[in-house]
Amino acid sequence: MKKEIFNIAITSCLIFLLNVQIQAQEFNELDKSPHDIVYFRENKISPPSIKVLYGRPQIKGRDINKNLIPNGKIWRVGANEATEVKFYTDVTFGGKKVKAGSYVLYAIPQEKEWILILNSNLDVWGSYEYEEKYDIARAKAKVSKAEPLEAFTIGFKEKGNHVNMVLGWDTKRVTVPIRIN
Amino acid sequence: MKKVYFAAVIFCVMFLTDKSIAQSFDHLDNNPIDIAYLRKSNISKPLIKVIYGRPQKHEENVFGDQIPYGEIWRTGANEATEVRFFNDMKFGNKLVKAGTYILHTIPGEKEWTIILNSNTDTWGAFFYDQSKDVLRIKVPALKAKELDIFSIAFKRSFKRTYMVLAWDSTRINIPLETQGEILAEI
Repeated sequence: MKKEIFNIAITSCLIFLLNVQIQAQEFNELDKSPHDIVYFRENKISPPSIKVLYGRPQIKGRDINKNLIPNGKIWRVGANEATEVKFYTDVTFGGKKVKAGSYVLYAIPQEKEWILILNSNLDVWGSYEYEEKYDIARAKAKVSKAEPLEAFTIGFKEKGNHVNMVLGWDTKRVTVPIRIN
Repeated sequence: MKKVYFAAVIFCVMFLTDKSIAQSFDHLDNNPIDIAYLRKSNISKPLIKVIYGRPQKHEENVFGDQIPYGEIWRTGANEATEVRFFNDMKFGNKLVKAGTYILHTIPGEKEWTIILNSNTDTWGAFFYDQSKDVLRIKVPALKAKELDIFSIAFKRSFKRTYMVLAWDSTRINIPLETQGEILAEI
């Protein structure tokens, strides 16, 4: 009799715990490297020309060159889901004509110059599914130095008749010119 | 002496310019963006993609206090929540064509109005334009365990697939179907 009650108690405890766990796992926590959206608009009220959706990892005491950005290998340019760039009109990306549309942005980081890649295989995770055959354009991007940024950041800077897309993390800045046609 | 003055001015200008560069980079958002996909399996192409901001509960009741009843809500934070359908689908009881829409809602105590609107790339619900509505459906508000962070997820229950809006103790389950077939295998 005692054993039976004990068994029932244990079983109900297990069911209860399992239930709580399933419920808790139902919805995702906030990401440690959250996504962000950055738009480039010609002025504040004009429709967007470029939109970037990207994950923002943080340094958290690490060395970005040693632990976070690979040298000479493909990088997802962010965190989690691959970074997506949308051009609302045709553009010239580092000298190459690119049609309006959405692309995944990858990079091959190097010491003095990065290669930035637009690829048409969308909605992928990280750079694990990268395939060169889907490349649309490759552009060279200049590396420079500036004040440190804790979180990986993508921004835009207007410069004369074009706009610079700037990738910034720690003291590193990587700049690629984009002309909106 | 003039040279020193000149150098100081140049330095100041450089410093100011530098600051403007620093400001062109955004800080991490308190209500970060998240992405939710509906896929038939982990490796298949997505059927639906949702991009939404995730605000946190900071009042006793989210709905009725933090988010008023009866008013249009951006259904997230910051940029309006965006839903992309990769196929034509049935959303609630209405058909929606493949494409990208923004999702707005009007929360109610017992029932919510769910709106898909074609005015994409807008901020919040401030630019809401009813003439760009693509569909409106009504969905009952259900109760469940409290959740601090607003979440959008896809759930399967009794062989049906739902898009779930979840915050505090409120759950809104929007039934989904694709090409007449119920998404039973997800």
